[in-house]
This record gives sequence, structure tokens and C-alpha cells, in this order.
Amino acid sequence: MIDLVYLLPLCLVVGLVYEGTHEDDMKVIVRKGLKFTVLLAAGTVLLAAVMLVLGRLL
Amino acid sequence: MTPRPKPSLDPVSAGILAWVVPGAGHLVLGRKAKAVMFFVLIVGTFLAGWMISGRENVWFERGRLHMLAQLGGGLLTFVLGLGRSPADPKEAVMHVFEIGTLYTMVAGLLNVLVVMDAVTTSLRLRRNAP
Repeated sequence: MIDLVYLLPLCLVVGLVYEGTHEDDMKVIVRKGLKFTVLLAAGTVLLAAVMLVLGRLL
Repeated sequence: MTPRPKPSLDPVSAGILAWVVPGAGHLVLGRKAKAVMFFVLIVGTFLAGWMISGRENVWFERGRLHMLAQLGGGLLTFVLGLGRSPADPKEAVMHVFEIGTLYTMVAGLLNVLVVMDAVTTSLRLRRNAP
């Protein structure tokens, strides 16, 4: 849980910088970057949940 | 579309400048907003990681692979890492130490992406210049 709290801000940074290197308009960068962040965060939480379940089962 | 100023730097210099100070390459190429964004995000993440780990996770040592990723941070890595001895984190803070190291590594690797963008932006501007 502590890991996730630390990882989610990192998702925001990765999302904004990644889109910043692909787009020129700042509004587009922020909009796409936030979308990217949500996807990345959802993937991170999903992966953490899968690992948690696997850890309990195995 | 607003006209962009002609780049005053060649791609190699823009790349080197972008590596030394995150965002500086874009600043010189006229992308001020992106430059500020890259600087705040990358330097902020690097410093946050350094502070989270108790200011001990950046140092130079042969064979230390973390440093390869942290080197992407440019000048900041040298300022924080030179003259430092290998960290000896206590067992209690090891968990947070690893997260801080991850922050600095991600910031360094993201700056590599920014360097590549500065180089391609410079090339694109030169190609489109009258």
C-alpha cells in the first residue's frame, strides 16, 4: 500500500513527460498526459492487486 | 500557426544542454513552457527521490547499475553524487531507500527521453527553416 502511494505521483510525472515529448501544445500535453497517467495508475494498481492475490495463493 | 524562432543551437549542442540541465535544450529552442515543465518534473522527481531515501542514494561506484539510470539527470547527479561514499542504509529505512532510488532512476531515464526530443526538435526546426 505504501508502495502505491509513492508510485502514483511517479505515474503523473511519466505521463506528462512522455506526452510532452510527443506533443507541442501545452493543453494537449496536459489533457493527454492526465489520460496516460490514469491508464498507467490503473495498470499499476491492477498489477499490484494481481501480485497480492498471487502472493496469497502461492 | 505561430512562427517558431530559428534554432540557435545545432542538434548535438541542444542534446548536451538538455542533458546537463533538464529542459534547457527546449528553452534554447524556444519551447519555454515545455522547458519549464520538464525542469520542474524531472528535477523535482530527482530531488524528491534523493530526499525520500535520506539523501544517500546518489553516489559513483564501479559496477553500480543504478548510477547508469541516475546519470540521465545530468549536472544534478554530479552535484549530489561526487565525493559521496557508498550509502549504508539501516534495515528500517531500506524500503524507503529503494523507492527513493527508483524516483531518481526514473527521473534520469525520463531526461534521456527529453534529450532525444530536444535533438529531434532541433532537427525539425532546421528542416523547416526558410
